[in-house]
Amino acid sequence: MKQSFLCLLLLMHVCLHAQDVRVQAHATCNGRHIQESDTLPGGIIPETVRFYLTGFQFFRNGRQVFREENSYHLVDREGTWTITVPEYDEIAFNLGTDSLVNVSGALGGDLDPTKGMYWTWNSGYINVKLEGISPMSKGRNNGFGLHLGGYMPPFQTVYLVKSPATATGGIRIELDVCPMLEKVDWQQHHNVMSPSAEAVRLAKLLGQSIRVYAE
Amino acid sequence: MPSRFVCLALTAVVLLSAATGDPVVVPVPPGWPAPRYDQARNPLTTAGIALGRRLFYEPLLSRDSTVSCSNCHLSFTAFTHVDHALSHGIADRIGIRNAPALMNLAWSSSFMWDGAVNHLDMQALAPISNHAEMDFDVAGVVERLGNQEKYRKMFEAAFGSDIITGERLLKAVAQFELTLVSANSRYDRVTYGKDTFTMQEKNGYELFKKHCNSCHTEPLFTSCQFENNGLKPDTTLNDRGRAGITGNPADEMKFRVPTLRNIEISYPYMHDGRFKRLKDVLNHYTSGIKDSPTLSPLLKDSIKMDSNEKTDLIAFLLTLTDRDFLFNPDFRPQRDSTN
Ligand code: HEC
Ligand code: HEC
Repeated sequence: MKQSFLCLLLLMHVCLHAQDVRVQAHATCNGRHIQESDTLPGGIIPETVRFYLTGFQFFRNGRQVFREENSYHLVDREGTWTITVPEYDEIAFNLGTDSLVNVSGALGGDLDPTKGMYWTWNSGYINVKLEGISPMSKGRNNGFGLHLGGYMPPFQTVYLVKSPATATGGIRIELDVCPMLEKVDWQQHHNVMSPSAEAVRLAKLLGQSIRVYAE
Repeated sequence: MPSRFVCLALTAVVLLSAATGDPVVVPVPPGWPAPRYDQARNPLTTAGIALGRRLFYEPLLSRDSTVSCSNCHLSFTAFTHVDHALSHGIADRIGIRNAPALMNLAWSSSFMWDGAVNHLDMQALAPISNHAEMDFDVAGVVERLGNQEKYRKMFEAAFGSDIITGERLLKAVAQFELTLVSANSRYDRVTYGKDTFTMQEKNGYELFKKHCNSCHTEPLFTSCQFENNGLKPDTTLNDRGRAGITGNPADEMKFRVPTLRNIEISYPYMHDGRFKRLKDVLNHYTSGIKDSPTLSPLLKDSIKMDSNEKTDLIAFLLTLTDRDFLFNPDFRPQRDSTN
């Protein structure tokens, strides 16, 4: 009895303090938003920059207070959406998809295979897709294609990001691709098209270059 | 918040009830394990199956609208590309593997010879985009179908609204494929006490249980595992099998054990279609095994069978032919009136 009363109180508390949080995600290069026709350092022209941000969780005093249902957001260079959450002081999310959705068959919304983020010949989501031209690339016409994915050990590419978020009006997430692009092996690995050690290495570099700003 | 939940729940109920067509469940023959396919995530309906069947025979799924799934998977031949060692598709480009027979897919845990595909839903993406098969992409197919009144109606009947998505397309194809159950061969009727084996078939069955059943396990006639059965590598194809997917040297030259149901019909045999006759297959198992570090321990000591025994074993294998399956009118293209 007492417990359910407490439960009710908690629920009311949650409802009263629920708020809409605007999440903005951007692909950046050394802190600057990447625009449509940008040329990045080294003469790199990024034609495609797409990635999944998934599994949003919110914490307060170290305890999870909210977990977004069906939390899969495909960001195409940039993206904005809103989440209704109770008060929080910390957030967590993944760069990339969890292993469960990789083995669950056909899914819709941002996970629909028409989005071009699902490998056709070897099941699994492409967590990050970076395509374009790099003068350093040994590929045909200096092209490159980094399709980073893989959900099975030893080639798991999903990267968990956790960050304090003290202001609670909005969240800006920046994925800085340039520190990673500096470390691409343009001679041998200008095309990464399947789960591999190279995909894991690059995905980790990207994960480490995510910055979260609470505003 | 609670009102949002109620609203969502109501929407779900409306969506579910809007999908017309009677519910269908994949039939589980007596003595078989439970299907692995999770039908709760893709509930079968008559309308969904009809749509999947239509799509299976639809050349619009290929770039130049010439090739449908049935080009390589023919119903009369247990849905295999009979007589073609390596399947060919658009512009007669040759693929690198033999098209497997399609049946009892609800019980499979992985797909393709190397298990590259982990779920039946996602399998159709591979032929649609394969350069040597249909050479297209699923977004293009969705757009094409969306331009057709006929398909918008069929998607509405199957999924409750006429919006065509990749998810719905794949689920419909899977629904049709899940109905391809083969479980009425003579072997099955003997199992259920409705028929009897001849002496020869009985002998063959004993030999089968002794030499083959550990991989081609009853009642599905496959263990669904990856094994190296001692084929000599074909240096023109350099197919590493499972190792090409996992990168693990322990998987070198391992392929998924294929079912032997309807094996009489689904020649040529093996992932590259190298054997034309069952006799050739048995000769491989008795005198053609190539030793290698990943060869199955079951085949390290070659199987000994004389020619009478081979004849008996083949007689047994022929009891796995299921005419009801091969000639099932529900598996052939619909006539337009029977939409
Ligand atoms: C050009 C010939 C060709 C076409 C067209 C084709 N397939 Fe296949 N199919 C194959 C080959 C070859 C394989 C085996 C591929 C492998 O193992 O890599 C296969 C494998 C499969 C499998 C896996 C079976 C198993 O047990 O692992 C399924 C299911 C399947 N095809 C369904 C389809 C569907 C649905 C379509 C149409 C969307 C289609 N196929 C179009 C040749 C074809
Ligand atoms: C160690 C496991 C194993 C044993 C034992 C085994 N097989 Fe196989 N069999 C396989 C595998 C794996 C394949 C597929 C190989 C490939 O294509 O690379 C296969 C393929 C076949 C095929 C071709 C099927 C097709 O659709 O192309 C036939 C027929 C066959 N086996 C019959 C037999 C018979 C008969 C026996 C017993 C004498 C037997 N097998 C014993 C693993 C085994």
